[in-house]
Amino acid sequence: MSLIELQKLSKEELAKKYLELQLRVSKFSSVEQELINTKDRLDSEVFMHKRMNYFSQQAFNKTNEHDLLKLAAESVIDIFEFEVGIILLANSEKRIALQYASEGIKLERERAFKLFNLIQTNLNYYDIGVVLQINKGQWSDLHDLLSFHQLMVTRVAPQESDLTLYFIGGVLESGALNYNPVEKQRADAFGVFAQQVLAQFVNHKKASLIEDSEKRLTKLANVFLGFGSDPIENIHALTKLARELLRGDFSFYKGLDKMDLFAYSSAPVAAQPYLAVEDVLFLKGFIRNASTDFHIDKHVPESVKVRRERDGKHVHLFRTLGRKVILDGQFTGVLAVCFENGNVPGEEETQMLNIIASAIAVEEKRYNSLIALSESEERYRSLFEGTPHGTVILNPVNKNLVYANPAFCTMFGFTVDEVKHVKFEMLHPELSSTFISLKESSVTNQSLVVECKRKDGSVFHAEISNQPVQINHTDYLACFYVDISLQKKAQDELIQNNAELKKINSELDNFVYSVSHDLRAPLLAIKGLISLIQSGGNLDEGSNAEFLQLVNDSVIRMDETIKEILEYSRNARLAVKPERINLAEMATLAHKDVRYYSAHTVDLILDIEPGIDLVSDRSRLNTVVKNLVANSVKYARTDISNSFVKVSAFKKDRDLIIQVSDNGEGISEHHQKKVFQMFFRGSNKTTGTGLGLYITSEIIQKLSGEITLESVKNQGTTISIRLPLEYQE
Amino acid sequence: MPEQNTSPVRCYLVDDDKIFNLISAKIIEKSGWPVQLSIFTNASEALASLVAAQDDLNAVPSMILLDVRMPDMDGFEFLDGLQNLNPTLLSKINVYMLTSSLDDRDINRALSFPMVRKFFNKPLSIQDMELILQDQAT
Repeated sequence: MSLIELQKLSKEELAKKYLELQLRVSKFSSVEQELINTKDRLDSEVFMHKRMNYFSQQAFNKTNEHDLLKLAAESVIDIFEFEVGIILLANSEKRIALQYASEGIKLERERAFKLFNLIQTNLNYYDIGVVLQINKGQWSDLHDLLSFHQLMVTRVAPQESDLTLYFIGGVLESGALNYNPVEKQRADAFGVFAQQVLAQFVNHKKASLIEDSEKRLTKLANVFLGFGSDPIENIHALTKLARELLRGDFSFYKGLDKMDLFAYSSAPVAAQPYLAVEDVLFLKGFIRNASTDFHIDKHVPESVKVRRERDGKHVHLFRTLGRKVILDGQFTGVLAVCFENGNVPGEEETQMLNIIASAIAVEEKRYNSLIALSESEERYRSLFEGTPHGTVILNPVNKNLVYANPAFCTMFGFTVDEVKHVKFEMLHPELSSTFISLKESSVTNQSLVVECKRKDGSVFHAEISNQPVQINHTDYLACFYVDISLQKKAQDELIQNNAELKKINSELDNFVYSVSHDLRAPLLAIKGLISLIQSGGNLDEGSNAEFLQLVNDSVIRMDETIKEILEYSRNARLAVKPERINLAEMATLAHKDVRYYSAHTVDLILDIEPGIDLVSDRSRLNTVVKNLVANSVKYARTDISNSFVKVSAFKKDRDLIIQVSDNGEGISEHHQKKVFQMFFRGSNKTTGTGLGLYITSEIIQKLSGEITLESVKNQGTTISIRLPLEYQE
Repeated sequence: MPEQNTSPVRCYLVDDDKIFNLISAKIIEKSGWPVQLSIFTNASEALASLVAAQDDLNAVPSMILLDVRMPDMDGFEFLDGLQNLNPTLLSKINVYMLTSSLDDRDINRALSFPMVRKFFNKPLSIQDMELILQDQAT
């Protein structure tokens, strides 16, 4: 429309047109507003979805169930621009809150559980997934607990599960002014968000279940692997394991007879349960009468609850999961895990408890057999350790000593530890190795006397016997020792004494034989002579006088023999009496006594070193000098005129050498060795007893000296005596 | 007294004890038997004499009175020495032991020698001599 045409229009028309125009403008602006609104809404939806995506990304990183719930609670505020976010996880079957997380409000445990009770009671009327919007004035019980302006609540549940997740988001009265009321879209989004959290939760649960199972099995295996030999310690470890794997607050094993209730409680010391006496009595009775598996929880009558003291209040233990431990059909005890709250034991936990209970049953059995074993072991050990006979267990293959009792160690001078490094043949170098083989033939009930070598190398004798034994299905040989070294020593001494006695006896026999002969001979001669005199008659007169002279000679001879025997006996019997001795005087007197033994003259020559100080036995030495000088006189050569006996003496070191030499008949070489023997007579020239030189050599021996003889037939004899200058015992 | 007129019997008397020899000689003399007596105070000398005489049967004594216990060579050693003699010669010799021993062992040992006929305790008596003579006659 041109201006000219406009001008042509009337004012009226113009006004009409203006109105029309105005109407159209306002129409446009409302469309525009609508567009803006739509855009805003879309923006906010995009923002919500972005936040939801962000939540999903974050949720993946959460390893812990509670952290996931916490994130969800934060996200309720972030996404939906609420002031408060609360997530509750519950076991809907058992109507128990398990966990909760809140954001924007401080929600203590008690209030949270009350909240849960109200929410679940109210929501039970609605289908799962329905989002309810509650305004102030509705659900007044809830308002008492939480002074809300407006709330949005919903619940979601994974399939085939007891679990339910409750979502609460909203604004409190205090923040109501700045709050945009919830639109339909936001409510839908809230439902979507709840499903999303549920999906994350289920994923998480699955993952953590797998992980958990692995962890638990590993732990179980580790406990089994770490088993020691003490069954009580093992039962303790198993009880502790039951608490850890089932995430209980404490656990106990109660053995019926030997182990006391709560003996194996593995709760931290600070949380050590306090159980009232009636609880303990009840639990005992309950456990006795319970079926194999039992379960005590909130739903059992009030009196059944186990309480524990905390912060001065009695706190109910919500549930106890127990398992009777059956061993060979016999009820031996109960393994139980108690929970204050939190995790509900599922199928897997129950199975684990069964496994652990079985393990405990095995340990109980082992404990019983160990007690029985240790009793019988104790009996055998006290026998083995206490016996005074050396006992050793021997490996017949490598011949090592496996175990030795204290008596054995004492016998051989080893310590118990040292014995283990000792080989059998080291102990008995002379014992045949068949003794320690396990062959039938080598096993002997008869003992045998063997030489035994001690650690220090010394030797003793023992009577030893062996006996095969089986220890842990391995063949060993037990050897038993009786120390007979004392008996052996006594026996050896006896044998030696016996031999000595035999020798002495034969010497005595010989002595008696010789003495009887030598004493009887002159006596019989006298008898013969007398009978000759008596029968006289036809014999001439002179004979009688001759016979009488011979009788006299025989008497003298007999007397001499008796004197010499006494001399011998005195030397053997009397103690040495050391005195200072003048050898020259002694020799002179001796010569004076014996020079008439022969009609032939034998001169004495003395050659004694001056200043000799001899201390010895006077009487004995006198016998020696007299015997030797007498021999020289008796066996002097009668065909020469210068017969002599020379007594010389000189010092040599600390000894005195005395020599008695002559130029007499001498002794033939084959007699020289025998002259010092008892009753040996080399010649029948005189009527000697055969004791003189024997007694002489015996005396010299008694005086710690030596006697030697040199002689040449028909030239002479030299007898040399070495004596200590001063006799010492 | 039997057979007084036969030729003298050769007899050795072996004893180191001169008194016993005197007694024995007197007893033999008293027996009235014609005995040609040779006295030895040393057994080895007697053995040497026998060895020297073994070719002459007349010089060999038909009886020996022997002491057991003597120095140098004793009676048993003498008997051992006798065993080495010519057996024909030996068969002619009767040995009579004279001893002061009371020991059975000595007696048994002496009698184990075949030529030892009898065993007498010293001193020799008339009765002993009669037994010897009876034995010689058989």
